Amino acid sequence: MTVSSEEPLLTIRELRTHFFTSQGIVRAVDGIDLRVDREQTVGLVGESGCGKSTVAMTIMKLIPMPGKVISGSIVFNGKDLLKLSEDETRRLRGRELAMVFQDPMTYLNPVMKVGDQISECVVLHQETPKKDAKKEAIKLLEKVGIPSASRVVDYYPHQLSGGMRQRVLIAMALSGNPLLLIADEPTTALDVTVQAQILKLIEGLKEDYHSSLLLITHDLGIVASMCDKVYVMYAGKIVEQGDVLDLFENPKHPYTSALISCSLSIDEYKKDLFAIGGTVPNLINPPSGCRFHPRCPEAKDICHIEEPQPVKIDGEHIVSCWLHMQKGG
Amino acid sequence: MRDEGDKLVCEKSVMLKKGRIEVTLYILRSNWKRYKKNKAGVLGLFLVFFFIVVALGAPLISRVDPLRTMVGPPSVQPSLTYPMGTDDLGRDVFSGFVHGARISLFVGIMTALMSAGIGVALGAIAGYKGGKIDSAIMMITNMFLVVPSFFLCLVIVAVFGATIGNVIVVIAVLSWPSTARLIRADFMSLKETEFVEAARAIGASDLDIVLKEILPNALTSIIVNTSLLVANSILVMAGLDFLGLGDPNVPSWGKMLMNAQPFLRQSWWMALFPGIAILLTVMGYNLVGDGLNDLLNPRLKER
Amino acid sequence: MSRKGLLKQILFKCAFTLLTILIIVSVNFALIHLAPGSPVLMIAGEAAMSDPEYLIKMSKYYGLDKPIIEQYFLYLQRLFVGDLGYSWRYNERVAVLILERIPATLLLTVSAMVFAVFFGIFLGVYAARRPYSTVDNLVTTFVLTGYSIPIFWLGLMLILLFSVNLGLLPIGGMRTIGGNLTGFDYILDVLAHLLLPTVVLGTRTLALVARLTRANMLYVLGLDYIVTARSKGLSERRILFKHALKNAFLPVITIIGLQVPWILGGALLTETTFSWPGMGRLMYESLLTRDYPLIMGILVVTTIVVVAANLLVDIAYAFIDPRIRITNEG
Repeated sequence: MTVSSEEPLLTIRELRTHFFTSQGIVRAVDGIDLRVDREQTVGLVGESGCGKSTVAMTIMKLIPMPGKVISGSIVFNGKDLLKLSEDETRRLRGRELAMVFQDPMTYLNPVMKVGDQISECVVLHQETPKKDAKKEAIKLLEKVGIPSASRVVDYYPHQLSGGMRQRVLIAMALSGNPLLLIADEPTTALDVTVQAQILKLIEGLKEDYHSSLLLITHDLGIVASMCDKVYVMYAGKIVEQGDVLDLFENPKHPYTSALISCSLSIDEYKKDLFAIGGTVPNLINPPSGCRFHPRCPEAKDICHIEEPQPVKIDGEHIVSCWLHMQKGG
Repeated sequence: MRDEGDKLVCEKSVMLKKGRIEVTLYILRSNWKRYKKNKAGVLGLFLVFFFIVVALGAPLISRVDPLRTMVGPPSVQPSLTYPMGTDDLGRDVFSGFVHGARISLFVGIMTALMSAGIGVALGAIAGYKGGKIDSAIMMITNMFLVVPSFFLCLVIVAVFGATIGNVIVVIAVLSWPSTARLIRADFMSLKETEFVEAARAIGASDLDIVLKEILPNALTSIIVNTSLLVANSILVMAGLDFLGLGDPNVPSWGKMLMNAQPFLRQSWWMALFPGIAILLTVMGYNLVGDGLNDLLNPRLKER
Repeated sequence: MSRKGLLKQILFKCAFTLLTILIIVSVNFALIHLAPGSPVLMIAGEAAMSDPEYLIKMSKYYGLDKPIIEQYFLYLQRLFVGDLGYSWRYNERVAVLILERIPATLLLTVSAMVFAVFFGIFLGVYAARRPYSTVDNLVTTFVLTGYSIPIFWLGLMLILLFSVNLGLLPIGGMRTIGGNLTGFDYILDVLAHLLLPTVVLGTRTLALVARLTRANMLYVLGLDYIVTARSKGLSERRILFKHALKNAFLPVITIIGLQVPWILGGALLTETTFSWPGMGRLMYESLLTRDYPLIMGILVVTTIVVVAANLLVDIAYAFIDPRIRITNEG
């Protein structure tokens, strides 16, 4: 029952996920629209705490307590995920919809052999009989570039290096031939030298499996090298989105420009390090109007008062900023 | 001092400004507000106080002598005159219920205090001194934990006589290990804290540090553990009584149950009421212990 | 590196166990000589006090006129060959009396332990699935009652309900007297008699196991690798038992070890309540008649059994925990 390849794979509309804590309601995701097409790599970028991981968890319907989806729709492969039962969702997970997490140490079961953790995926998703599962697991380990896979399959997670563990997580995610692979900061916990390898691996495998990739990160460099399209998120909202090239050459939102300046200052030799002033906003009591206004160098009066609506710059490039909106419009 | 959740000990600066009594009252009041939220804990407190009141007021509540036989016809079902019936020898069960509380509570509390005393002392020494002394004490503790203490209790009471004093001492001596372990863990972590270092820097003696700095912070564990010890002691004593090793001149619930066993079919009330008494009393202390534990050692509990 | 480290641990535990046994045995010896009344009383038992010839024979045999140190070593020597004394009342060697009763107690205690662990874990897991739900609250209440209840009273109440009123189960004993049943029927008969005592003896341990399992499961279910397991689309049952329980289960073994001494004490009360023909009931009878050699003998045997069982549990723990095993492997 798959939809034709012209239709987008994932369409998120007006998604709101709030956390009801004793301190107040944390509006982690507060009305976002997002689209991922077939075999596309989409980046979701923003600072820590802006809600991007929550988007990923919401798609997988793995939001921890006390979180709840308030409104919106997530249409994946023709079905609204938010309307599915727990059973139906479970059938999708690991198969059409898979996820790779950030910290491979805590996200792997410490008392289970690595091979067993992959085997159970293989048995479940590929319907391999148990006796062949181990062989399949070894094959998957080889596919993600782990040397001596036949030995590693009997190792426990703590016997592997960070990079290897991440490869295991990737192997588990791919075992079901996912249509959409969500990678939540897949290299943030790894050494810099290993990061590039893992990213390359993910890119290559994504091509092999003809999957789409939703890449969540705070690192613009990764976005630039890997993504076709990018969404910039701030304080629970999407502030700018567009083709990667468009966005990098022509950033329209002050936050995007700031982010770009931050990362470029490491590449290019500059005298001053550029930093965005202020701190990450409180998601329980976000700033009024445009949420970025307290830190925005170009904030105007109206920015304090009213939230800007999305405006199309051209093609895929859309921005939510008063600088680009007609006054009173 | 301790983390935000532990309000039993509050900031030193507050203590210095206000008077000692005011501070204590303030602490008690704010802790009570939080404790009230735990319904189970409140129930436990009610049960504990209920039986203390019953124990203290026994002679007023039931003027009948619980040990006197033939106060009424034997084996009477619960009725208006005898709300819990009479046993096979005509003793008033209700009177036994009420008076039995006295010995249970007395033994329970005394044993718990003694056991806590030994446990805290040994645990403190082990935790504070560390090293070889710690290993030695821990080895002794483990030995006590491993042997069947109930059997030992029985044998010692059988050999040396079943007086109240003996019973208290025996149970106390065999139940201190759990407290000792807890206190040792507390002391081991507390002795590394800043205020202890500060006290040492001033030149306070070891005893001073233990008594004035560490012990007040370990107080929460001690209180919780003591409540649980009372519960345990009451159960052990009831067991001893049930086996016939209690003081014959004192009315006790365990003994009533022992008498009830041959008459289970005919006179079920003889067994029902003393047992409920034990159950509720023990439950009370367990609930209070758990309630205090939840109050003073908060864990993450986001709903 | 692994084998040596593990071996060292095991040897140390064995040494500790032997030391504990030696101490208990010595305490036993001390009791004989510290008790009010003469040591002969301790050796012969109250009932024998009416038999002066027997008393003289015992005094000579046990060398009561010899120096204490010599008596101590004689005592240890006798224990080593299994001579636990003689019961005048039963007219039989203590060791024999005890051995006769061990199987019944073993059956009861093992059943109770298995019952407690099995159901305790299940209750703990299912309570943890939906914390603070009705099921969870019920389990919590049950747990609280389970470890506040005096087990002899629980036994009496269950007898009242099931045997007296409902007539479903036998009142006591291990088998129907005069039943003369064989084979399968015999087994069923014993099982019917075993049911209530097992439940009674196992209740407290069940409560503790359930509580600990629930707490551990709640903790583990909040950890990251459970999120991974869920993201793989695994069934709830698989996540609970294969992933979460494996991690939550380890401390339960420690509890089991600590409960062994308690279960033996509880067996005494249970056997007395249900007239179960085991070592516990023998102890009760000997307490009633102040049959001291029997009392002491049972104490020694019980201690050795408990301490040895604890040692086995410790060793099992060291083997089962893969992290300990692996850290030893380096």
